[in-house]
Amino acid sequence: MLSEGKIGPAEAVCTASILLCLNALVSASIAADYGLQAAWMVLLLVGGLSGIGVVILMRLMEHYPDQSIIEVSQEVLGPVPGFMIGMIFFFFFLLAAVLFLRVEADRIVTVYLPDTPTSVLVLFMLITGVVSAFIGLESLSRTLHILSIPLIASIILPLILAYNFWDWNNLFPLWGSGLSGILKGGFLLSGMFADILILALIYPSIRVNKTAQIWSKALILGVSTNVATTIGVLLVFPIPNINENLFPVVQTARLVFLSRFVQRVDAFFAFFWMIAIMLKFNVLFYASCISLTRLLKLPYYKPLIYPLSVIVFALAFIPKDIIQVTEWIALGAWRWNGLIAYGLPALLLLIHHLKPKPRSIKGERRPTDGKPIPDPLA
Amino acid sequence: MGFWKFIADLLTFQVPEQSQPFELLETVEDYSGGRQQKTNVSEGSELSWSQTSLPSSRPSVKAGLLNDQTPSETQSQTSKKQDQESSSTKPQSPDQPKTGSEDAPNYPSSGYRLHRPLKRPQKMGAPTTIDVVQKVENILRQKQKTAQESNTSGQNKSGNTEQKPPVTDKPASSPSRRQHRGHRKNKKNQTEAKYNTNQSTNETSASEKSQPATSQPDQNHTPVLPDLEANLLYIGEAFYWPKDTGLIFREFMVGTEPPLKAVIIYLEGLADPSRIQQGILQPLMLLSGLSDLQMDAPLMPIIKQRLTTNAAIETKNNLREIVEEISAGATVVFFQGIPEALIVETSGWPRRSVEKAVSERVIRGPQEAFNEDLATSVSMIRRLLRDPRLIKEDLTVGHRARNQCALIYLQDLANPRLVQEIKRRIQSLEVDAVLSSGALEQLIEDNTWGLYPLSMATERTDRTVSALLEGKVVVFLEGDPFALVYPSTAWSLMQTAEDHAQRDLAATTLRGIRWLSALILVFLPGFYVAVTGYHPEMIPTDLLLSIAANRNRVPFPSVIEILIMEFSFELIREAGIRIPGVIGPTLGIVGAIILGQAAVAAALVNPVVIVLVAITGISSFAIPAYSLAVALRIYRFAYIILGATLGLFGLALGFGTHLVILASLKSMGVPYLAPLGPLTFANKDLFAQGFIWKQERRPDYLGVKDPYRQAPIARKWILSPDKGGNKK
Repeated sequence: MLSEGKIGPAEAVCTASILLCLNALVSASIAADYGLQAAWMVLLLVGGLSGIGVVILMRLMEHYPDQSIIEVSQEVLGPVPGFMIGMIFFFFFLLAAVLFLRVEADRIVTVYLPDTPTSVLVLFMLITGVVSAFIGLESLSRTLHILSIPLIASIILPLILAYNFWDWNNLFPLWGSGLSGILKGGFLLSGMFADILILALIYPSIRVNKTAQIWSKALILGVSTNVATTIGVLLVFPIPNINENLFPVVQTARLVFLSRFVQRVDAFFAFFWMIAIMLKFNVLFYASCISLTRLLKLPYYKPLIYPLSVIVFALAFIPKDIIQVTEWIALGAWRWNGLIAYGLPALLLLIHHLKPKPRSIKGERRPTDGKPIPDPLA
Repeated sequence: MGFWKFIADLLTFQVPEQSQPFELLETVEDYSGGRQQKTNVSEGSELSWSQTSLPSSRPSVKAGLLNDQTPSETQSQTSKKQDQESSSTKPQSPDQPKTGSEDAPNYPSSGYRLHRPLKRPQKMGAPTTIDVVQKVENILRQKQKTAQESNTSGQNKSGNTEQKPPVTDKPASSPSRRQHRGHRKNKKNQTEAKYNTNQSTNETSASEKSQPATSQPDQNHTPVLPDLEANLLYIGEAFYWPKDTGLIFREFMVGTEPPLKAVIIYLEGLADPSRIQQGILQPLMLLSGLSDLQMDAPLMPIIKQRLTTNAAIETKNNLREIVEEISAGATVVFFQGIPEALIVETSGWPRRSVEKAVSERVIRGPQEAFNEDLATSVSMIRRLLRDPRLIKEDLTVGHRARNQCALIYLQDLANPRLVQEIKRRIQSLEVDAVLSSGALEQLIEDNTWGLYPLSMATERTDRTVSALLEGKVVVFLEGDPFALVYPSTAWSLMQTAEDHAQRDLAATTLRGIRWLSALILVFLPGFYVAVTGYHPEMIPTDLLLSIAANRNRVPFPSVIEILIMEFSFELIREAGIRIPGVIGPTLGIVGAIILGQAAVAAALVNPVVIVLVAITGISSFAIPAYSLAVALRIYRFAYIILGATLGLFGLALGFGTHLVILASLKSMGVPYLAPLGPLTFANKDLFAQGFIWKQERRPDYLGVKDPYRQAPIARKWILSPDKGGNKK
């Protein structure tokens, strides 16, 4: 049986929430496309919809405490359909890793390293992904746990430090594009926080005591960071500037001026963003390795690391440029990921409840839903 | 009446004629009849004495340093003497059939005879000829010669596979992996076979021995036989005596009734001759007059309880263990007819005195440091920690060197699983030798591919005791002055012994400086390269202009500048350590200054780089743990390369990966970053040092039996109004 080590609830929360928080670097500009001044409401709506999805996921996973979402799909649907659904989950993580790798490499090249080829950055990040995957989930989660406060602070802090550029009028009109725009944005971006599916993948590794708290804390932390960042960006920049800007948080950080000697602190914050980017990619890459391992029922995941790294490297260069990969994320991944992350688990949960439960000779229900068999002598 | 006569003679300064047991050792011819008589008397006794079975080829022996020799006379000289004497007589092979001439007494030179007429003692019983050591030496010498000849002839004859080389010699060809695995087992079996051969030989040659043939000994137990010669053969063969001249045999007679033949064995230089003389030979030879009634009792308990005056003695009946005891400096006494050996602790070799700590110097607090002697180091701990629950367990590592290890912990505090795990790892080592604590650390630690030390190596007593009181386990290695503390975390390596001698705020500030120095050491050169190469906008304009002006004359890029200077600094540092005498550090500093100035004057580097490298170098000295400082010094080169390649992004990638790797490290199963990663309850002594009276709990990641180290209100005096406290 695949052994990934055990992580604590706090580490699990940090692992999932950092994945969601990092969307805050770009979520403001994309949400502003739909909601204008009410972009933060769009994100709140996305958070609410994700909350419903998370509840479904949570309920599903609680029936199978020792299995990941890959095994659950096979358990509920049977071998072949379950394998197909598991394949979808694998591609979900693989493409998430690929798109994230490419978009962040392009962003770093655009903003900080204009003379460096994208391939070099992709290669270096892939190397760190391979190293982290070899080391395993425990260390990755532990690192994210240790760094969670500095990483989240590095996203929030520039917006606070740019307080002298705040213009409260930028938030008005409060409803922005109106209710229809907010609802449209909320539904179309419902997959923005779909990365929380990682919890369903590493579920067997979590020392579960209060499952609901893990899911809810991770989602609330991620959503609140995104909303706060969006509000901060809205306070600094007017809507037209946000719409045209792919890196609103970076632009905000560049405005920070502490003194004549301490100028351009954005590089300082960028240092932490880059660490967060690296760690998020590492988690996604690890997730793709683990999901394939679970799908194929392999005892070890490490033999898959090198082949998958080559595949990721190759796939990362399919998008033409940063514009295209951003479109794929904003119009593709964030739009449809919700269906995979919440829709398929909802389907699985429905089938789980509709499926006739095998009964024993005496007519008692048999514990086939993954719950531990009660000890009759206890 | 004899006793009162002895006292009277003593008081009147007369030499008692019967109180010279040495006289019995001098001549042989007077006692041959009596010996036989006395032996017959004791045949039915429990101990089954069998002196009569031994053939006598020489009447006396001169092996050994004591009594017969001056202390400066070595065993080699003794061997030469014996050789000379042997050459005068006919060399005897054990395999040859005995002739009547062999049993004839060989008189010693006239120098052994007493000048005064010898009176036969009334109570000392029959004397015995002293010849066992010489006989064993002859047998072993012959064996070694035969083995050498067969080895030589075997090498000459190609394809002669029957004549195998002796166990000790190196195999002609390097063994395969499978052979290597079974090597030690085969060696053990071959030694066993030799022992069995000796045993059967002895049984054949001495058919009248009362001791029945022993059954096949098991793998780890080779019993001591009642036959003295067989035991000596085993010990002699184990140490390749007399080829190796370090083993000392000293044969003597215990002054019992009848006299009992005994041999002491020890290693020259490891055992203290004066302790042997005073603790073994004097009591056994001079003070051992036992009455006939006492002789009915088993002899070994009497020897242990009444005759031997050494403090640490024990009996063993396993020759394998006895060989180890001899290697450790103990003196072993074999008695004829007794299937046990007396092990007397007589180790005494030159030891360094307790000196000041070299690598962990402090201004305030204890100054003493451990030394290479294990017993001294342990005694220093016991002096500071007078808890009877302090346990010291002895372990041995290394098949050849048999290095002594000590595992120290508090019985009612340390996690038993931790103790068991450390013990398991040390005991499972299959190596020739472990010569330093650094080597031992690498052999038992979880991750060996990184640079980080996973144990705290300290030479300070107070730090070791502090660790023990936290519930940690300390490992000592004989011959190394550093104690290894398990488990150790990254935080503990950044603390010094002086921290707790300071007030909390001062200690916290100093810790902060140390952490800052660690960051400077790792990141500053790489950060400089990254910023000047990729992010010049981060540098304030004035500073940027200054750097640009200084760099104007330098032909190299920043990364080359930094690498040149960092490499030069490391070169000076390493050379400074190796330069003999006190001028080493001085020469290093002077060299660095001259080199730096010359480099700037030659426009090889800009002065900013010199400043950065100097700050980095000084920062490395602020790291308390030397191994950690070395690790960080090496990692900084990686950051320089990353900074030159990808700027800040490279540093971020490196830092992130570095942290992931750090989070994966474990020290004896305890995460290296605990209690921060994973987050557990941290005592108030991590980054910051809390008030000393508030540090009630021990670190919980250790799983200690008693989580509290002091009462919730440690300063009880504050509750007492008449002692100056406020009454509530």
